[in-house]
Order: sequence, then structure tokens, then C-alpha cells
Amino acid sequence: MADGRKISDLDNTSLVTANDLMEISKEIEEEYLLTIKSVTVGEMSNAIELLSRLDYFTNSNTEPIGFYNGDIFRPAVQVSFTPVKDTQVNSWAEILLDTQFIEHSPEIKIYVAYVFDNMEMTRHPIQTWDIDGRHVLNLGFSTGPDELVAGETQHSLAIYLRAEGGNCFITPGDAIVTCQTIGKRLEE
Amino acid sequence: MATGIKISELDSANELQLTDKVELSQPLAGGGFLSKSATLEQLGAVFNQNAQLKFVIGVNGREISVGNSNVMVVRVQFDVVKDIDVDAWSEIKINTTFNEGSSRIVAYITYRHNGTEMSRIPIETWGNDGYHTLNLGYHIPMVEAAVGHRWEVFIRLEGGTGIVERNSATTVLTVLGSSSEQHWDGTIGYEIAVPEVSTSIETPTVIGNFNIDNTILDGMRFFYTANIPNYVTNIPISKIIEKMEHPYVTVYTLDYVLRCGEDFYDEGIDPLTSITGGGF
Repeated sequence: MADGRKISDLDNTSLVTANDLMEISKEIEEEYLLTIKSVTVGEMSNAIELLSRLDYFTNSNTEPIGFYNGDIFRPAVQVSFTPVKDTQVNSWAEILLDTQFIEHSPEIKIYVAYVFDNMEMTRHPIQTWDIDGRHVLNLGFSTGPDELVAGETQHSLAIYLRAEGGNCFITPGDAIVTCQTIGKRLEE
Repeated sequence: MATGIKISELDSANELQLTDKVELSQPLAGGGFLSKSATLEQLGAVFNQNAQLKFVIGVNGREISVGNSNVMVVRVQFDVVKDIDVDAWSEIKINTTFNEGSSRIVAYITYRHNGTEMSRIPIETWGNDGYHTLNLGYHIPMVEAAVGHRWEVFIRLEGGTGIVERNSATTVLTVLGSSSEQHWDGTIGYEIAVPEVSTSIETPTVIGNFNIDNTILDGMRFFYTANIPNYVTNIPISKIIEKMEHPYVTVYTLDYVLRCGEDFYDEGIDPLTSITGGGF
């Protein structure tokens, strides 16, 4: 802040710069400022901005779900969330499946589709098991740093499955999906 | 910071609450401070990101044999600085061997949090023996702060046995870097306060009593005067928020901040009861 500036001269264009050191202080009894820590304006602004974007959203299936051999994609689990600001979204899902081969089938294939905001993503993981029984399917999905989703808007991520070579079943609570909004790196 | 007190001067009487709003203040050359504000919780979350979670990784330090009874393959002890969700990620590499006559091995995973078994039990089935890798995730909701926690992963096998070699079972606990319960709205405003005023003894010319929203004649020098005998302050007009032109005078509406020292407030007297002004 240049010397000689008057308070009344300040406006939004005359704020301190990102490299200026600021003190975190608390006003006590309207007179004293309690200094807690010093950081630069840029550091603080970035930290607070980032902070505002961090959150968890998780959900699981509440009903038993069956996926039958050769059927179309059907939803296994979905989660809705409303981030505070534009953000990158990382998500992971763990689905516990009980598979049953159809007769003479040597394997079962599970095809996965991610449907984000009702739009099917291009990435389609496939898992093959050559033995039926109980299996664990772990999945990860990210919008990536360059594809931010809009803040203050409700979004949804649904995980669809379909089965070939057998049927598979999910009991309530066994399909879990979690979305994390992690913000983005801010420009100073 | 002329009026600030130092951290070293803090005692229990100065204890702050998470909901207290604090200001990020920058002294201004012209006097006063340029301020941003946030709650202590928000700021604490920012500065303590690395302290939210301690002891975040666990690895088996010895070889573990797994059979048809639960065997703990990894344990992580941790604590968090406030109640927060924790994700537990495990990767377990296990070398399995069929039991005689068996054609499949079924692995049952059990989690225990502070000794309490979780209801979620992932089960994996293998039709071949040999090395297998289990990738597992568990979301632990609202882990209590300020107490020690223990997260353990157990495994048992049906249809075969297994060996988890040293350093082959890992669990990593992660949290989001912050834990503020209230969302920051993303805006950072600023406000300007005059933290102190100089006092001087002058003999002002009283031109009348004024309320806070006052009309001031143009072209005169004014003093804000406390309604306390022998206590006169002389501060500049901090901000003119409205200016109205009239035929003979210019009327200003003032927005001012008056700080006169703790004695002033201790007496419980409203200082802004009159304004005096004088010529120059």
C-alpha cells in the first residue's frame, strides 16, 4: 500500500496484493486485535477458496438389485451432490457382487458405465471373473482437473452395470459410491 | 499492530471459539486496517490440514499366514483433530494355495474400528491359486476427534491358505484436507476500521448536538466529542457515505468509527452523543 493513501481513497482496485503479508487477528472487545498468524494474502485467499470446495458425498443402494445375463445397463448406485463452487470431482465406488454363471459359461463379464449428470461417459471398465461366487468390484472415476463441474448446481453420478455370461446380485448397502469435490488449483 | 496483543500474552480468558470470526488485517499507511474475515474454524482447517490426521499408513511388518480363521493383516492407529470422515484404503497381496480337493478360495475381509467389527464384509472368490491382490475401500463416517483410533483389517480364507508377505498389506487413511462444517461462501470482502484515535485537548466551538447520522456544514473543521467531561477526541471524518447539495450548504452523512480507549467503554457511556465543530 503506497504511503500517503487515505482510507477514503480505497476501493476494490486498491486492495493489497497477493504478496502482501497479512495478519490473522481477532478483534477483542472492539479494541484489541489478537494476532494469530501471518500469511500472505495470496496464500490465505487460495486456502480459503480451496477450503470452500472440499466435501464428501456418499450413498449406497437401498434395494437389492439383480443384473441378468445379456440385459441392458442398469443402475447399481448413484449419488447426488451440490458443490459450493466449480470443482473437480473424484469418486470411488466399491460394489460387492454375488455372481452366478449361466450354464456352460466359463466366465462372467461385468461392464461398467459412468453416467454423470445423465450423460454416459466414454470410459467403460470391464471386469472378468472365471469363477462365480462373491466378488469385490472397485472403481474410480474423476472429472479431471480440466473438466470442472459447476458450483451451486446439483449433479449426479450413477454407476450402471450389465452382466454377460451370468447373473449378478447386489444386496442393500453393498454398492457404495463416494464423490469428493476437491476444487481446483487457483491462480494467484 | 499498535493495539494488538501477542500470542504469548494469551491466557485462558482469551480462549477463542471456533465460531469466532477473525479478521485478516493489513495495516494501512493512512491509518487503520484493511480486513478480511473468516471463522477460526475455517482458518484452523486451512492451517492444520496436515494435522487433521496422524499416523496415516499401516503396513504389515512380518509375514502373515492366513487360514480359516480371522487373522489381522494390518493395523493403523490414528487420531484426528476434529470429528471428520475418514477413508481407509487397503491393498492386500496374498499368495494362495488350494486346500486338497478344493477348486476355489474365498477370502473374507473384516474391518474393526476400535475393536468393533463393521457390518460390511467384502468377499472375493478366486478360481486359481497364486498371487492375488485385493483392493478395498471403507468410508468411516465422523471419526471422533482428540481420541486414539485403531483401524484393523482381518482376512480369512475358505478352500485354501495364503501368505501375506512382509510389506504386502497396506492401509492408508485419508481425509479431506479440511473439516469446516460451514461452507465458505467463496467471497472475501473487506472492511476498514480505524483501530485507535489520537486524543488532543482543544477547545471546540459547540455548534450543536448531533446524532450519528448528522448533517455537517460544508467547509468547517469538525471534532467528534465524547459526552464525557475532559475527554475530547479529535479524529478525522472516516468516511463520507452521502453528499447532498443544497442552495447554501452541503450536507454530508457520515459513517464513522470512534475508538477512544478502554477506559471509555469501561464506563459504559456511549461516546457518540454529540459532535462539535469549529472554524479554521
